[in-house]
Amino acid sequence: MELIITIAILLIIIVPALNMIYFSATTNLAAQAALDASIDLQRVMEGIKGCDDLLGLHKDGNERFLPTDNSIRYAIEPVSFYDMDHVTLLYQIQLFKIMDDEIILNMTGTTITE
Amino acid sequence: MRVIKKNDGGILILLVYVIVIVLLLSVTVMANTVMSYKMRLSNCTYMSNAYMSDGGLDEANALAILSYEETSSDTVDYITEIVEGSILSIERIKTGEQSYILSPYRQYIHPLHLTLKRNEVKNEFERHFIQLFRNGFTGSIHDFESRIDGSINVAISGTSSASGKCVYHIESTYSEKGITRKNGVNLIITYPHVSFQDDNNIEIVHQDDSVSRNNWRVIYAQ
Repeated sequence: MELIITIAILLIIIVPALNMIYFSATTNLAAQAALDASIDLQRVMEGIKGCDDLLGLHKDGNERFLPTDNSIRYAIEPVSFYDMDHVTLLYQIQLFKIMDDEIILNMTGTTITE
Repeated sequence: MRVIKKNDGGILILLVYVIVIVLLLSVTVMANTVMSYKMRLSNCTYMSNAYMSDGGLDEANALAILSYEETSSDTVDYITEIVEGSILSIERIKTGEQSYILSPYRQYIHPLHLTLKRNEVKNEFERHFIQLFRNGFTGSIHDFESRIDGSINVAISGTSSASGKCVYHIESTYSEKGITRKNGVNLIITYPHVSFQDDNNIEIVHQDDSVSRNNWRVIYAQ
């Protein structure tokens, strides 16, 4: 009888504890992935912002995969209000980090052409 | 019937120790996980908000370029009218059709030589440009409404003037998910000036960087 009680109590305690550890591990992995994605997106954003010709990327607002990285999708759209004699000054950049066909992080920025 | 006999239960006491240790470990790990998760997500929001805030500065920069172009165009029209009016007035004064005193452009005409006072025209150009630009740019920043995100706020926190240029200190803030980022930039406006080929031909000379910003931020570097 004592053995049965012991096993029952162990199950009641150990199973939730194992669940907690599993949850902790997966949550940590997700957070780490988001952090890595943030660093990746920053690198791409800085590359686009610091480049006058926008790295030859399309400027039509349609989303495309980055030529050098299949896990990052981008869209560059002119901010129409700042058109000046049909020369666009300001562009809005949207970046998406994709993992397993799911967007895990997106980031919005701008770049100005002079 | 008693479940546990007298002198039994040693294993249960051991079990209680195990339960306490496992619980403590679990709670500690969970606390760490939650804290780490929040920190990492905050970091993402922190960076994301920084770019949105920087977007406000880019918008202000674009507005400054637009204001510069509009002001420049208006000022050229204004100064061309002055020069043409002055030249016409000089011809009339020379033919005796108009008196110097009654000429509306007499401040730009030399009273003895009846020639255009080029320095007066240059000063008038700069004065008019500065005033028009200041009114246009500060007005557009005052009424600023971001085209990218309505939560971006932009304001002029200070201005300073130097010879031939003006510096506007712009601040942009963006707040989301409880994290506020504020970025600042100095926009340097270098004024154009008038160059005379002769009294009838003027040329507006623009600097290479008529609107420039003082900082080139590097948020992330590998």
